[in-house]
Amino acid sequence: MKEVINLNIEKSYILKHKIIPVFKDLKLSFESGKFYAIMGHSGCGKSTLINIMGLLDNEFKGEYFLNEKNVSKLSNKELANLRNKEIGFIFQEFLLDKYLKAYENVIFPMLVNKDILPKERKKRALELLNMLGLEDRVNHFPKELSGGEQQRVAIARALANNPNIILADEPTGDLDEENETKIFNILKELSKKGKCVIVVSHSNEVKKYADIVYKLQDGKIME
Amino acid sequence: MSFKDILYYSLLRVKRNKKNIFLFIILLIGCLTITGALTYKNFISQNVNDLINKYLGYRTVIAIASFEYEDKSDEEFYNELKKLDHVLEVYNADYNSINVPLLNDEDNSVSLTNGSTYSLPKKIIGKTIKEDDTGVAICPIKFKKNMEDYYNTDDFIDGQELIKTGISINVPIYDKVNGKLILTDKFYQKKYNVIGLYDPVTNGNLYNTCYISPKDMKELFDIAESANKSSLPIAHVIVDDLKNVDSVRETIADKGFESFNKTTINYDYVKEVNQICNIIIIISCIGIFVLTILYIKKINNDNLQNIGIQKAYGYSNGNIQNFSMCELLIISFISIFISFILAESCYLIINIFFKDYINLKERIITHSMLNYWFGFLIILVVPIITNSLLNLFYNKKNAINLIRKK
Repeated sequence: MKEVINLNIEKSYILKHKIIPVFKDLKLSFESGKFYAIMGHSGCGKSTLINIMGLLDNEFKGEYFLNEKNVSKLSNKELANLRNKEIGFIFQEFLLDKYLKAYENVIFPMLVNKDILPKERKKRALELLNMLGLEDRVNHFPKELSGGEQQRVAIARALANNPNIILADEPTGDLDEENETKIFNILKELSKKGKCVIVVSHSNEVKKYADIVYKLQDGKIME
Repeated sequence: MSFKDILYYSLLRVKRNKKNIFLFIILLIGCLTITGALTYKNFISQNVNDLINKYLGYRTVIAIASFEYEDKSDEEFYNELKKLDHVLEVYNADYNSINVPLLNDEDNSVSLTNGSTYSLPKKIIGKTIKEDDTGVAICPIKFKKNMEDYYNTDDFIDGQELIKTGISINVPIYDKVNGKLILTDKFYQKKYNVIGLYDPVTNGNLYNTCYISPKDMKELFDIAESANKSSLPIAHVIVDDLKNVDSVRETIADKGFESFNKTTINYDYVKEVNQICNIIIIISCIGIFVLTILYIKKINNDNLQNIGIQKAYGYSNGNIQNFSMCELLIISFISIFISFILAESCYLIINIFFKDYINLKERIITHSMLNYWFGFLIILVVPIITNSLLNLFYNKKNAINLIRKK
């Protein structure tokens, strides 16, 4: 197993001239081929952690290594490029573009990835949708899909650029039990295929699938 | 990201997002209003300028001699006026023009006008006439003898026909007895060979106006209309330029003569039209700006999560801006294209309608591409500025914050 993320950071906010600490000496590491669950109550800093791990917030103290590369000093452009190739995001509300068909939504992240040739994009999108059991839904718009199907399209989109890390923020929050199980199974399968899957969730169900569960409390991690 | 990808996905989103129709309508109405107001404004100004250029009357001053000239010859008065600066030509006002019956067709008439050097049309097909020519005339390319039925376009006589037949007049002669005009049994008859043709529309004339030489005009007046002669000499003074008319009139007044403009134009109307059109244009520009800002802001607010997702998936701020800009430009260009087609169709319909009325025929709407360009520029620039300003705001926002904004 290869270490893909290594964090050793401190993070605080300044609110009305007061320093509000979020993380103090937060040390975390994530390996490829594992399914991680990060749990914690509201306001414990889960979103801040996703922002930092997803390279959307680099205003912190300490060091963040992604694939052994220190990303804490990278420019916005370099961070955007790294995000495009290394991280696939999945969100609770699916967040598909309602004006694009399922396969067009999957293609969207590929448009800024120079490693994927334009003629390969559609083929790759269809393969991913097939893999997730959506072969008969490729030409449907999001509003024509069920919640579970929309989340599977979102997973296909997250896999579009073949990233090493899948970062899922409450991916089953808007789904029923049956679809929740389906999504967690898919994510589990992806981890078995070598992806580092990190799921932030309130749901205790995630514990069943996770190889490692981190509990975030008072700005610290408890394994 | 390639331009082709941006264009393709922007076209998809524009086509599928039905809400874009509102922005399209705002821009379309704005573009049509601005273009229409500009066209009308320029049309009125152009018409007035054309009229001034075509019709000599706007730079002709009528000067009346003072009573001391009762005992002097008329020529002395005219010579006095000829010496003035900016004066091109002076002639007896009685010899200016006269409406006379046609021979063997007394219900219809021809308007004979003094064909002096400066009053002759600039473009003549065929020969022109000289001061001392006699028995020759220059007539319209399409002649209409029945001016009472002015709107009827069926009775035009082709100018070429007139060249073959000429124009013959039959003018009853009056006598003055104890200050009263009495019709005699005599007639002044003359035939004029038509040696040239001109376009009355571009010269601001009626369709029955023919030019004859000053010599023939004098002869006609002295024989047939001498009873109408003024007691004091009255002159037509042709000024070189409209802007010099007032100064010539001042000089004439300094010499003790009375004067007035042969024809004046109501500039207040032109100014009023200009002001109204300017107000419409300014209101349209402000309207487009405000409505476009509000609408683009709403579109972007609906699109916040998409912007957040794009950021999360590695789209740079520039990529995101290119997408939204491209979508707006597509809507703007469609609005421009449709407004161009609509405006052209309107002009075509209006002009076809005008062509049925000969009094309006010379008022064909001429619209320059400049009018379009201004309208086009506004509906291109406003969305670009608006979108750029809003993007400056979104550029600073974190992807997760945008995603969770809803």
